Amino acid sequence: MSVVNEIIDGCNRVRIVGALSIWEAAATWSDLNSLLSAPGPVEIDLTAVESCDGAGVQILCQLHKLLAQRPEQGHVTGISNGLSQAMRLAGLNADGLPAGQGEA
Amino acid sequence: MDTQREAYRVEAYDLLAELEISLLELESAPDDMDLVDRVFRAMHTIKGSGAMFGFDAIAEFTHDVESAFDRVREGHISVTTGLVNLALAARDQIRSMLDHADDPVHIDQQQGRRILDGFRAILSAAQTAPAPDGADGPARPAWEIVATGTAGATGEKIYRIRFEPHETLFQNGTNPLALLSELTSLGHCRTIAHLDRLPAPEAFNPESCYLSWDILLTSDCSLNAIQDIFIFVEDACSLSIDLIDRLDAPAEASVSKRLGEILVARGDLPPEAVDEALERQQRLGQILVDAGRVSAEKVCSALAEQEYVQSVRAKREQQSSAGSVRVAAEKLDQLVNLVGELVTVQARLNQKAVLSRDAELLNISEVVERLTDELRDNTLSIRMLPIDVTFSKLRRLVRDLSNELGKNILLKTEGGDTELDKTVLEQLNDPLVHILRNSIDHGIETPERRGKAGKPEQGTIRLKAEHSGANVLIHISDDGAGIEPAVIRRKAIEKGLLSADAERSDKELLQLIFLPGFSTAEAVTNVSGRGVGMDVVKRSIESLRGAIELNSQPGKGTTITLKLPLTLAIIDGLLVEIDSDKFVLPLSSIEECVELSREDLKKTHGRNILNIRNQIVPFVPLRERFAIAGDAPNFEQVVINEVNGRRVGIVVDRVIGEHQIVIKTMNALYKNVPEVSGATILGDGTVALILDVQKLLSGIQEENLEAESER
Repeated sequence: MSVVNEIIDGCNRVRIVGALSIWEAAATWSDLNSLLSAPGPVEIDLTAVESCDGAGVQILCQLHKLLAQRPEQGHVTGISNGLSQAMRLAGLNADGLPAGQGEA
Repeated sequence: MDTQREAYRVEAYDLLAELEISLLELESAPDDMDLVDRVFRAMHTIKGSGAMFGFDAIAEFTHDVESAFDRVREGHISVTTGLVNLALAARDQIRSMLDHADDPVHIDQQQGRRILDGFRAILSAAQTAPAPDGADGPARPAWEIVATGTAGATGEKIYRIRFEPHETLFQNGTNPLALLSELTSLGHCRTIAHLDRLPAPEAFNPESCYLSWDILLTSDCSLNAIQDIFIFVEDACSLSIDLIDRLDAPAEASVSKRLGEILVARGDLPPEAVDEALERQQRLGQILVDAGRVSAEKVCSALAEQEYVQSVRAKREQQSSAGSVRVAAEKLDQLVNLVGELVTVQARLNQKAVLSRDAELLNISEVVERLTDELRDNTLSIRMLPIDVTFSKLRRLVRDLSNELGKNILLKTEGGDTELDKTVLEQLNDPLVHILRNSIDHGIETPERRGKAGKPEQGTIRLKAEHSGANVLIHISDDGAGIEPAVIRRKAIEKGLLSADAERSDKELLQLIFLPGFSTAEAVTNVSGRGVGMDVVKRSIESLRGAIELNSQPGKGTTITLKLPLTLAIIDGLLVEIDSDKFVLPLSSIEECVELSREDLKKTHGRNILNIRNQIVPFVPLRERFAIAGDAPNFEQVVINEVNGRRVGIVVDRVIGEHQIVIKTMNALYKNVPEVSGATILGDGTVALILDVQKLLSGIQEENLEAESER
């Protein structure tokens, strides 16, 4: 797993690449936390997440919770199929909420 | 209304058949609560629908029987042989009430009163008896008993699984998603995630597990199967598994639970909180959330459970009503007849197309042929029923008869899913009953005699069905005394069925028991032994174009094998010709065809015997037998058939080829011509007679015996 970011037009574009599991959980959260603590808007791209376990799903829930607190500053731009399947299996929607909640 | 009453009768007969099977199984598995439920449900439906369609006497009679099994479900009454006997008697009484619903004078009312008295005595004893172990206070519903793991699991159920991992779960390498994925392999899952333990971002430790889940699983699996999935995380989570609905339970027994009931059942809320909220007459979920008694997430989860159970039930009911259609047997018979006509017309079309050499017509004919074949196969398959339907009826016979005769007999069945045409199956019942009665009465010895012979006290009768080409073989074997050929010989001589100096092999002697009036029973009993059994069995099986074979080893047991065609409507036949007359020989018994020249015929010196590869084979010249005028060709054809284990030739002018034959029953004028079993219409419109080779040969044998005795 790696968290890569670049700042384009003042927006911090963060991309998570590879597996998102218990083995990378601490490092991933640490990276994300520091990126999200920085001022300015953030866009998070999850389309390159290859696989995800329970710890990874939990990080995404926490990420969404954090982004929900500052909606004007950050959002998730895309999600990979593997991640999407893991979220469904865990009973969660793409926004990291229990399936059925927060949906129209 | 008459149609509805008839529909009730049909359904009630089915339920009674199921009830009999369940009761017999319950006798050997008295703790199986699933079987108790099945018995209860059958009685409940017979009673409920009976009252609805005007069968008040049946509804009234069934009431006490149903009550007794309700008490069994509650654990107040134990399943004993006495209870099963009484329930079986009640089942027979209900059947009699159904049979004679329009003419109740034929119903044995006294028997009905005796049965009800029996049930009332059981119910009254249960009321005065102390509560059984573990049944203190109000009776537990059946699902609770299942949830404690004491009952088997067959029907589909909905389980609620609460899985709350400890925070340390990730640290021992467990991925909860893998467990959730494994659950989906057991059945349909609705997974509801809970995030309420997720801390504020600053307190979040990504290596601790804060997620938890409620999973609603629809599956026919047992509680143990679910527990097995969590076996390695037992110490790293809080887990509760509850059976919240049984989909095979009657709808009224499983009314969808209200939100408050679900929250209380899940332990999220005390009942007083629900009562308090209800008094305010607002939406319960909102009230509880506003009052801070439960989180919005938990209410959503409970609502999801309510919606899930309702939707699964609705789906199931929709599927069960659309999954099968009950059709009157006559309509199926009519369909088979029409398909038979279509096959005949299609054969004519095919012949016409071939003769016309019109490519387009040939093409159309080929398409019609393919469609007709598919239609024929599909139509015939609709009439096929598993033989288990018949096997199940025999369980009761074996149970009752062995009790009556003081014998201990186990009936084992195999291949119950083998399918046979409905008509064959219906006509098979009586021969099987005859064979089993003989086996129980004469075959299996008393426990004392078996003990002395070094056999286990319990005798075994096996019923096995299997496919063999276009036939089904049914083996009925027992581990009883077997048949002594010497006893058969002595009896046959005594009854004048065999001359004292006749030489017969053991196998031939055994065949004598199929002769009319033959019985080896030392004493005539009301079970068998009047000598009217096996000859009737043989005739019945032969009338189904089947065959019967008997093998026996003295002291070890007897095996009877029935060979039956899959269907009676269409057969594969060999079309043959004598002069311009056409005949069909059933292909199932044909082994080969050989040529018979005038020279060969001369060598037989009128004895009608052929030497085929050093084997002597007798033959019947059909032209002579049917007195068909004209001369035989220089080279005739001998169709070799296997009949009762012997090879016999049928001599014809020409063999035309194999044909699929749609059998038409013969006019009443031909009913006394046993050698002809039916007729068929060929592609060119001519009629061919279908020969019954077995009857043709036995007729000749009888004539020869008569001629011998006259000499």
